[in-house]
Amino acid sequence: MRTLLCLLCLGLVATVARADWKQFRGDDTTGAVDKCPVPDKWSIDGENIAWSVELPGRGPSSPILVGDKVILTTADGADLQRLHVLCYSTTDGTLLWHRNFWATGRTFCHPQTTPAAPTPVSNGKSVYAFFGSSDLVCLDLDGNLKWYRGLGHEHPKAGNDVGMASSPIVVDDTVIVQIENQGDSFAAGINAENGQTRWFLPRAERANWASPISLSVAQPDGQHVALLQSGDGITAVSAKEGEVLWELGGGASTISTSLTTDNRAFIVSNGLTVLNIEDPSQKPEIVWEANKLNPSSMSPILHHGKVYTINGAGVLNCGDAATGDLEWAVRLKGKFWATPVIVGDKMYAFNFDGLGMVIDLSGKKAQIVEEIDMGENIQATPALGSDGMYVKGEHHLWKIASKQ
Amino acid sequence: MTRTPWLSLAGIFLATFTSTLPAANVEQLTQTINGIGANADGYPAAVDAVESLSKLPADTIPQILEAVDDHKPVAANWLRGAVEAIADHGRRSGKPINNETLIAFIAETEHSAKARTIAYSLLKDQDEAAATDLIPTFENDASLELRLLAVQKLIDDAAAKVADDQKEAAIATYRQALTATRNASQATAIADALKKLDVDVDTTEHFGFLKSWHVMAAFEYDKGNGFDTAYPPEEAIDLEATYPGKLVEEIPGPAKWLPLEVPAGEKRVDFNKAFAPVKEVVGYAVTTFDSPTEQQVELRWGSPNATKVWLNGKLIASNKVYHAGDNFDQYMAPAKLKAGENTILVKLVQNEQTQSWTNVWQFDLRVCDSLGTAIRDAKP
Repeated sequence: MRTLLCLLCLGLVATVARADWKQFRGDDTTGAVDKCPVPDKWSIDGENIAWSVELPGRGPSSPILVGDKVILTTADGADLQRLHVLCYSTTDGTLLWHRNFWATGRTFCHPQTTPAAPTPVSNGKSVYAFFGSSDLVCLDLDGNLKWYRGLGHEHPKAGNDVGMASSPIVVDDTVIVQIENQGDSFAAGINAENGQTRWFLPRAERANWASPISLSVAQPDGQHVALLQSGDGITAVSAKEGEVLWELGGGASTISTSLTTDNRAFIVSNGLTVLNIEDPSQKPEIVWEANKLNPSSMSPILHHGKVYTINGAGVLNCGDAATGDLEWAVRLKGKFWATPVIVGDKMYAFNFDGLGMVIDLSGKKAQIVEEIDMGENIQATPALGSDGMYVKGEHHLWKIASKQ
Repeated sequence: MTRTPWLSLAGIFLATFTSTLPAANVEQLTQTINGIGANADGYPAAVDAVESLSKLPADTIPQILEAVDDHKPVAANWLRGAVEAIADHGRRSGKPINNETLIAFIAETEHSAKARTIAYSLLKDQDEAAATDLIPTFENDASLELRLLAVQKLIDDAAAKVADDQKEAAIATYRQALTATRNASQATAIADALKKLDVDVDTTEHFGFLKSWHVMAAFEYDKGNGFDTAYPPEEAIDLEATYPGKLVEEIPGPAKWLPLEVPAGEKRVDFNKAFAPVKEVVGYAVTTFDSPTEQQVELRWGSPNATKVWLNGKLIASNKVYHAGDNFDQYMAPAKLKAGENTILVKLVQNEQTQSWTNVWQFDLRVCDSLGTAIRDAKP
């Protein structure tokens, strides 16, 4: 009995100690954690680099962390039609498994991107890798294929002029994808267990790169609500049935993705618009709007009552999450596709040219305290684990961690 | 005297048992996966099937690969996922698939292009040198992925010859690469390299873009309804006819056919140049293509505008998509040419968008085989 209790306790400790980052901007979509052993300074030559690996293919998608695995996607080959799903050990960067697939939908895109632009998502049991070709792959955490859906094959006109990028979410056993473009434009809820369609919702025939989010607050029956963001605004749907519950007009970003925490949703609309979510099935009230907090390509980050965005001029803005009041603005360097991440009172921001900036948020105004050249373009948002920060560049994956 | 036959019998039994039982399983399981349909029909059974397949031993890989059907790209990905998992398990358990088996499978060109590509990928994982040795044999391969490797090797070889001051040899190797490639990026790279060696290559000719057209504009866009409105060119082609078209200041009526020759080195039939850069209009382009025999071909085209394409009066494709890119072989449709003269009609619709990048009204089109090899107009 004591042995069993010990084992249970060990299991509990292991569960608690494990810090997953199972989707774009982490499990809670805030892009921030209190603790992670990220050093204030590192060098790609080796200082504070726990390990690095060269990636086959490339793509702006972000890595995710599930237990002791870091999982990511890339694409390469003729016309970028070869899709890769890769899994490395967080401990030492060993390649645990690597699966290859052929794109079955359109792969045309801008030279800066590839079909591996959407970030994969995991529910802790499976990983759902989605690609700009509208291919959706479900693998277990050991790399065994569970199902493969060729949504681009089924909808061959799905695709836009620069490449699709919306990341999927998984909620209530449903993988939700937004495939919104000038051709076959729709959102869909896919049964996470067998790949079949739970719901299909035609959408406006306009290009959209923003990702869906799941509201933190569930409906009274325990079912969750997903927000579909587009140039028209927000459409709230029940995650499992796809029933449209409410809509919020006024437009929204087609690139930067909203976030949600507790009973608040920070919508990238009219700058930034915060909604008070009491009952997610009902159209919420607007708490505040702040034009000055308009993010450009990156997505907003929330931490310790502050919301952070970077505008098109590369200015990092900090707002009071309760009021939307702008507290300070600091100009960073370069153009940002990757959303920065925050650990405690430090922000880690990587611009497109691959310059990493360590930004101290503890004072009255942010201050860049370190700049590190990563030597290649970076478009992916880093992932924060319990043992380090995982940064994906155009050609490499680095684990950046303080010596323990 | 008595032991040998028994041993032989036992060996035969064992061989039969180990090969036929999995074979039966493999056939059933792969059939289930190949049976999946659009909208995820058959998925629950396929989920079970791929799980079972993925647990089979590595020596079943060739049987699974034989089930890969190039015309079922989604099912091919299911089978690839299973094969890669099996190969991983086999390597970890010390029982990988034999390299010679993979090499033999790759060499058998009757196998599907996708299956041979998977086999090559597995071989590369297990013995990169052996895989590299095969690359030159892929120069004219039906697998365009494998052919891409061979062409890249030729490009690399040619570049090495340039570095070695072997200009004529380099030119010959680049030309060999150009003949082999079906990939637009590779063709452009080869043409650029040849240009530096003072050799001009027209890749639009290599890919067989059609250059001689008659074009007509403009008809009513009618808030988008013009895409499905059958204007006179859809009823009959009469190059001498005129029609009352849309009243557009920049395009004086009546609408009539104008000859258009696409210049050397260019591929696009540009209505903005032929008429005027206007919005909310419908135009048509028509050409003839002579074929010595009846033959199955693919029409491939690209356009930022909405298009419909007819072959000999039969609609073969309709793409009501506006400004979602203008790419090489953006659209493809199978078609059957008749012996003699064939008529290809393209409807090209420009919408109301006003962004600067939507000020394009153009298309390109070529006739090719299923690998993308240009088929030439047999006109004298």
